Amino acid sequence: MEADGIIESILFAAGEPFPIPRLMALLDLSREEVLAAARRLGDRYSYEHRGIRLLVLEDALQLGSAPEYADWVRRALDTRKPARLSPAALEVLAIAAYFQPVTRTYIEQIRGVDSSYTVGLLVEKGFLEPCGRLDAPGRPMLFRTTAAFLRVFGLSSLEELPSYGDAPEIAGEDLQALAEGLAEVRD
Amino acid sequence: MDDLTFRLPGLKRTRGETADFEGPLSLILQLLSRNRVEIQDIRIGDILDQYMAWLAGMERMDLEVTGEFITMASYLLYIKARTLLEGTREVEELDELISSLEAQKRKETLERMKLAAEWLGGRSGLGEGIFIRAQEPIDGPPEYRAHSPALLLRALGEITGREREAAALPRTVPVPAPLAYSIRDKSDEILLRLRDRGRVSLAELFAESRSRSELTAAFLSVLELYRAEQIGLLDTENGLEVLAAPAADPAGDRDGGNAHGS
Repeated sequence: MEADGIIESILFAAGEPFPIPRLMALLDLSREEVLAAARRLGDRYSYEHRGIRLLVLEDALQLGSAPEYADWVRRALDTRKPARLSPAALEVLAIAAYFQPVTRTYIEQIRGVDSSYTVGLLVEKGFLEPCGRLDAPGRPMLFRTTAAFLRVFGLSSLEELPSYGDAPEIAGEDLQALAEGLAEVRD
Repeated sequence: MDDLTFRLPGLKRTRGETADFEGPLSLILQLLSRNRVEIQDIRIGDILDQYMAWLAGMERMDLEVTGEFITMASYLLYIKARTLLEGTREVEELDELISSLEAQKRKETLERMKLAAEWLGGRSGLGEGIFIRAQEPIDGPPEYRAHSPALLLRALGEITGREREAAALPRTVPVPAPLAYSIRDKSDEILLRLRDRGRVSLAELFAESRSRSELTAAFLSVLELYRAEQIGLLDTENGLEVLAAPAADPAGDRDGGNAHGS
């Protein structure tokens, strides 16, 4: 299909994660059609043991090298494996991933310790990015996770994060019951 | 509100035991404020259902009872909402209760996040082997892209064309050789002239020069000869005259001229 080739060209030239909505507008395709084209391309790369892979990162597509040839690439480019993230960095990332957008203060409230250095480090590494300011005194900066975060942790979407606890769902039930009760009172 | 009691099954006491609750709404608030029951276990929907059933049984709305119920229920709802949504406003009466609930909520969230961090830590190697590249710098001036190889050929043609033009030009351009008039020659000439004629006017000497070079040579020769005391100069009415001898000519004085001696 022609769309497959066009998407492949765009992703090659763009390098960085390319937004799916822009591909939809460019090619006049639905989201499902773009994702189907991406799946076809990705399947072909894997099936033919090609050196590139197509990554779906939430709302964007990106081309990357095949992880099974990573050692060859490292030897060719003389790079070493990146250092593992510290437990503190992983905690901050988890809080940001589950509750984003979050302020640094919110992260510190949950962790109970100063987290400014870790937040700065994660922004520097490209795992967190600023995304506006909270409409509160001091207008603190809001942070969210990036496409690089999804890529490094092998995720296609934040929805793949496991669920721990179900407090928000209880709230949902209660509010629904309350709304129904109030409607009855009004009647 | 004495005649309206609520029954909430399975309320959790803080010590871990679970018990049913039966009593008026104000008792629930009291127990809550003393941390005797967990706000998470109180289902607002159940309370509302029971109240609605009670109201239906009365077949009329008692404003006093209803008002009390609404006050109590709204407090309860407020605490519950605060717990679940982690709001930021404060209610003085329930500050302690709320802060303890918040602390508990934070603790639970941190425990969940530690689990999530552990899960993420186990996956951090998954994407390490995927290398990506940055976007090509394609924002440069467009004329530096999309060139045809024929342009190179044309540029080469222009170079050879220029070479042909250069070859067509004469190899050497005749440049008039400077007529270097030697001061020594000119000095000899002046001395010869003076030996014949005794004196000659400076203006005549210069007027005879056929070129700038000869004129310069004549001027410099006169200066050199005068410095070497080979000639003398006499200021006359017709201008300076060059004399054959350096010694002041008595005739000069006689003529009223001044011999230049320095």
